[in-house]
Amino acid sequence: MECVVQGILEAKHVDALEVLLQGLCGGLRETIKVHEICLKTGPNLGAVASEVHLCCSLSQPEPVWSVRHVGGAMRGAGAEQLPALVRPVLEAGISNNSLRFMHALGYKLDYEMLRTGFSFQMHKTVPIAVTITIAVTAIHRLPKTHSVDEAQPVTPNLHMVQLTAPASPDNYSDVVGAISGLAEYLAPLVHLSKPGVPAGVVPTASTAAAALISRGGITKVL
Amino acid sequence: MAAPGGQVQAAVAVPPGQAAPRTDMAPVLQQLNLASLRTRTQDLHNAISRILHSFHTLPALKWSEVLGQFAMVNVELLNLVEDIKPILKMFVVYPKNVNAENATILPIMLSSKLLPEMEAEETILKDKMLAGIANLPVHMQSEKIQRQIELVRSVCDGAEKVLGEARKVYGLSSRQGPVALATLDKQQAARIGEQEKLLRAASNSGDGLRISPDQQQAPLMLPPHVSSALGTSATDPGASFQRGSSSALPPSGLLRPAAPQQQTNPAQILQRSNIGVSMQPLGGAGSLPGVAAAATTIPYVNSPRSVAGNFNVPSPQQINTPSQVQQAALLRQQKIQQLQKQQQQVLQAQQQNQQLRRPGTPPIPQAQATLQPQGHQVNILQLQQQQAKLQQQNQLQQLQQQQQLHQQQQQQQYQQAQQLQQQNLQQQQQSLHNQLQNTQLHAAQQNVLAQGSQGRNQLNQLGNMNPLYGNNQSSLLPPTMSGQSQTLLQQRYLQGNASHLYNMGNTTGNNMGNTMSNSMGNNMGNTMSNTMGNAMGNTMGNTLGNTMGNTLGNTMGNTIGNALGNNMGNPLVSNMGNSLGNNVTNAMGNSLGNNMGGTLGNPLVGNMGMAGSAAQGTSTLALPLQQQLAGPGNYSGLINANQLNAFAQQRQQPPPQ
Repeated sequence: MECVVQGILEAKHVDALEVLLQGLCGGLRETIKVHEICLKTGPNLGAVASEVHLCCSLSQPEPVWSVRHVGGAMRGAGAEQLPALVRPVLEAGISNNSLRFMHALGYKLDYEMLRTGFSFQMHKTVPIAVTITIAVTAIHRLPKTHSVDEAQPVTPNLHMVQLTAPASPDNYSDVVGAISGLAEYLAPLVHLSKPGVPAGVVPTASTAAAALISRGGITKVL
Repeated sequence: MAAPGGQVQAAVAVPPGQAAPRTDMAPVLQQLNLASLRTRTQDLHNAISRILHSFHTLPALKWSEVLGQFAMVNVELLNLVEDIKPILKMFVVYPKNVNAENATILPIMLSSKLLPEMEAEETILKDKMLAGIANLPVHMQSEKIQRQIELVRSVCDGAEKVLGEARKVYGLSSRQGPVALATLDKQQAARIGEQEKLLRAASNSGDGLRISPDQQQAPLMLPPHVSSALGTSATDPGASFQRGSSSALPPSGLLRPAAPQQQTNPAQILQRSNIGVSMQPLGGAGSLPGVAAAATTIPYVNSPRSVAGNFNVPSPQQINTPSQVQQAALLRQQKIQQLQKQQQQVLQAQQQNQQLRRPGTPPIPQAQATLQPQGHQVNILQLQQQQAKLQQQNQLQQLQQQQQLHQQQQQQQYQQAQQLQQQNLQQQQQSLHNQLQNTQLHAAQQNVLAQGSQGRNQLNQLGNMNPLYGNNQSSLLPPTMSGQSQTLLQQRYLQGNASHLYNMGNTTGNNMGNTMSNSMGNNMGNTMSNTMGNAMGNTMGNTLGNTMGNTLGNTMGNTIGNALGNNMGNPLVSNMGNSLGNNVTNAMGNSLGNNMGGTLGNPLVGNMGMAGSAAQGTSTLALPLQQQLAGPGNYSGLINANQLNAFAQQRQQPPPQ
């Protein structure tokens, strides 16, 4: 299971957010370049369509493939009150013949995208020991199938900010609390909300970004 | 306000005025820390002046910093005032020039009296204000002053409005952070909202990313990761796919094109990859042009198949043929028989020759304990590596059993050794899979390692493992198990130099830098600890190789004294005994082990760490493992008068040459 919140950020403020995250998380920045291929079963396979994401990480010299299945979000009155979305997720590393394998199973290409950006990991201990991954990515569409080099951004001026943290059925409320705590730190720059809920941009983000990036200032005298 | 006529003598304690303490009330004196007050006020004054200076000079100031510093200064000031308040009551304003007319208003005047500097400022200001109109009548003056006041007030109001707006813009109005007032105009906000929807939909559900089939274009060149993903060998999976007749996934889609991988026809790849999208049944095998079932295999990434050398390893769950099963059973029997022979020989040797060994002397020829076949040694070591912990625990339990039996005859020891082996076999079967593959060992190492009941245990395990590992392991056993005789092994051992002997001991404790021997040593130590050092002692007189394993298994019932006596002559053994024998010798009240191990014992003891720790439990064998390992050991129970006598007797025997 994972808890997830998303937000959008204008492209001009991405550097400021990176500075903020570097200060919060300790500086281990990981580049993200993931070619995500989403496969879906056809109507001839079962009553319910099954969807699977094949992610090929291109940030390393050797592509690393992984498969990811995202379940439905947790529902209920309690889930609606949570500031984050809780959903079951299965992720595993796979070999690079997975695409053919999935085709052989009957999965068909639904859509694909390229995500580029960076991510940080923050280790929180309060209220629960959890590692939250903050990913700032730009989503690109691939006009030609699998043509990663010809990717075009879906929204040139907006980046997606996503916070995810692993959770289990008995501690997800604490994990959600940790995520919302981290989201408060990011509030000057980005509003975070559940994936399906639009949140808008922060109007004063430019001020906060300027404050983060500016070099001037007086030192404390006392 | 003008000062009253009289002079007032205000002994104000507020700095920067000089004040002197005028009271000697003892409890209040402690609060009279005027020096510190003065220092603090001076510092505060300096700080404020610094801040003001920075306001004037530095161009880029942030509200947050300014406010922070203001807060600091404010806090300091408040603290100062708080500290001064209790002191103020010690000071009195003593008006001097009091007469009838100002007596009533004096309090008011005193309370509103200004400091001299402030008075001076006020006079100056007043003069400036009234300079132009001093000559006019009073009402005119007051009118002008009123107009000025109005002017100033309007300016102040305007300034306040500007400040308020700026405060809102910069979010300083509330402490909770920025107030999300929409300073973006509506159009901009709407535009951003739409883009946000686009982005979220694309990221979460792929809206806007799907390409209709007719609009799909094949790229000229597939990216390498995709081409490797789609263009891999079709021989194996192709065959398996061709078995099932699936219309949705034509087998031809999996056939590799004849062209090299990077030049794979994108159209073909596209057709294959877009099988779901296009829903075009591609028919039989020959439908795609240019497709040929070439035979090149492209290694998969992250695939177990791509690891070379794994192809011949059958699954551990497989027992390939019944003949292999029979082979395994046969080998197992052979191993058991050999182990029994070895044990018998060791027992005989123990009875015949309980002599001390000198360091460096070659192993005694009489010691006829069968050495483990060389082929086993590698496996033995490997197996032992993995089984160290298991064995230790197991053996500790066994030690407890053995402790009860240590007074019994050697036949009982033999039986116990067999039990040990069987138990080890059962426990070690599954975890020794990988080790069996490594069959290359040093001859020296083999000599060294061919000792110990662990070795025999390994043999048994190997026999058991045979059916599991089929052909891979068969080569291990026949040459090693069946052919070699004890003498052969012994000769090999004898040919070893003294270093081997030391290594022998070292293997129990120390390695030649060989992990296998480490494991061997650990195992040895375990077994030794199992046997309470008896094996150690018994093996003293015998060649290490010969007797180690055997004695380990067999000497379970030996008295501690015997073990110790045997250990006397051989520093190695003594060291080995150290692992066990630290406790054993200590238990015996004999520092032999300690002394003997003085020189050699360190590495041994170090390596025999497990053994040592386990051996430390020899005195506490009856206790649980933790207690055994942790406790300093109560050795009193181990000491037996008979054992002491026996030990003394054995000690007197000269070592054989």
